[in-house]
Amino acid sequence: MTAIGVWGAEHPAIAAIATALASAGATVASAVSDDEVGMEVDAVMMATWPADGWRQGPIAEHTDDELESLWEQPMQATIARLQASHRALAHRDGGGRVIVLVPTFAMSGAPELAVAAATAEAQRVLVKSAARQWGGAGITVHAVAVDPALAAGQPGAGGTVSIASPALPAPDAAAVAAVVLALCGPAGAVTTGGTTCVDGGVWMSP
Amino acid sequence: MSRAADHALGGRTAIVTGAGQGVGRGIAIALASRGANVVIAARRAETGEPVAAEIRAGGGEAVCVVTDASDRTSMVACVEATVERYGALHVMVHNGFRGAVPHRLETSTDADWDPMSRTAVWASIYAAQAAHRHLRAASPHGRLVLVTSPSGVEGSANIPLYSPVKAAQRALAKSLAREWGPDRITVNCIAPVAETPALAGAFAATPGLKAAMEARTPLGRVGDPVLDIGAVVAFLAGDDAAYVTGQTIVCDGGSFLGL
Repeated sequence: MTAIGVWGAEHPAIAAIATALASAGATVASAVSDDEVGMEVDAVMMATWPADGWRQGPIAEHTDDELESLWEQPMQATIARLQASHRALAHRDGGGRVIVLVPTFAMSGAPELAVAAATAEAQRVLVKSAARQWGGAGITVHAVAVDPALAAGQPGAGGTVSIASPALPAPDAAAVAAVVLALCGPAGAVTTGGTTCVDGGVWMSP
Repeated sequence: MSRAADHALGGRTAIVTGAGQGVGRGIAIALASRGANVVIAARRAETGEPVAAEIRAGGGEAVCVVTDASDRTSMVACVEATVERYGALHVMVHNGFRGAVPHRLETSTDADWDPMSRTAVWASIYAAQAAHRHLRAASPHGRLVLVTSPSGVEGSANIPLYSPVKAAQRALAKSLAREWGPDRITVNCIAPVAETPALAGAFAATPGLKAAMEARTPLGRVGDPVLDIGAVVAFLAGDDAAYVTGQTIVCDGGSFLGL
C-alpha cells in the first residue's frame, strides 16, 4: 500500500485527487506544514493552487503584493516542500517519489494569468533540477500537468492551451489520481524529471 | 561591429538592462550599430558609462541611466527618463541578472533564491510593466526581449534554483506574447552562451574548460556577445521579426537542441 503525503489539499481539486487516491487504495494524509511531511511516506504530492482560483488581469496592473501572492509565496512554499520531501525520502531504502501538479498553461503561457503561468512553469522546471540532483538518492521527481479548468476551478482560465482539440474526454480528479498512482509504482522508479499531461490529450509538445 | 552594417533600427530607442558588460554590452552595441538610440541601464555608472562612451565613439547614440532593474521605482524612472530624452521607447531588453552560485536544492537558502528571483522574475515583470504603454504607443515596432537560458528548459544539476527563474521568464514571454499581441508588441526570449568577462575568468581559472565547451558545441566555438548574441536581439528588435513572438531563440552554437 502506497503512503502519500499531500500538500495543497485546501484546494478542492487537490482534495478530490487525494480522496480518489485513497479510494484506489493509497494511504493519504496532509503534510503537517510546508517544512515537514510529518509521517512515513513512499511519495509526496504537492500543488500551490489558490483555493479560490487565480484573479485574471493584465500584467500591467499587478502590484507588489499580488506578485508576492502569485510568484514569491508559491515558489518559496514549493522549495520548502521539496526540501521537506528530501528529508522524508532520501534515507529510505528505495528512495521515493515526488509529484508536483501544475496547470498546462505552464507550457503554453496564459494571457492575463502571466505570473501564474510563470510560477507553474518554474515549478515544472524545478522538478527537472530536483530530478537531476536527487536521482542518486533514489528519489524520482515528476510533474503532472492538468487541465487549467481543474486547477482554476473554472473553464477557460488562461485562455486556450492549444489550437488542438482534446483527444479524450475531459479528465477528472480520478484520472489525475490514476496517473499519480502509476508514478508511485514501477514506472515512476525508472523515469524522472518528466511531465505527464492529464488534459484529455490537448498539449502534446514536445 | 556588425557583420552587416545597416540602419534597420534608425529612429528607434532601446533600453538594455545589465548592459555594463558581457551579453548586455554586446546587445547594446549591436542595437546601436544598427541605428538605435540605446539606454545603458546599469546598476553602476562605473560599468555603464564606459559602454555608452564606447558606442558614442563609434558614431552611435547612447546614454547610461543608473538603474536597479529589481526595483520597481528605479525601472520606472529609467523608462520615463528614456522617453523624456528620446521621445519614445521601442525596445525593452531585460538582461540584468545576479546569482547563479552552485548549490544543493535540499540545503538551499534564501541567499541562493532571492537574488535570482528578484533579478530574473521580478525585474522582468517590472520591465514589462514600465515599458508596456510606451511599446504599445510605438506599435507596430514595440519589442520586449528577456534573456533566459537553456537551463530554463532542461533544469540544472549544479544550480537548481537558476532553472526555475529562467523558466519563468519563458512563460512570461509566452503569456505576454498572447496578452500583448493585440497591441502588436512582440515578446521573445533569447538563451545565449557567449564569452563574457565572467566566462573568460572561468576559462582562465580552469584549464581545458574552453576547449571542452568548444568540443561539445557543433559550431566549435564560444559565442561573441556582439556578433553572435547582439545580432540575434537586433533581429528580434527589427521589422524582419515582426511575426515572431512568444519564442525562445537559443544562441549557443548548437549545444542545446532541446526545443
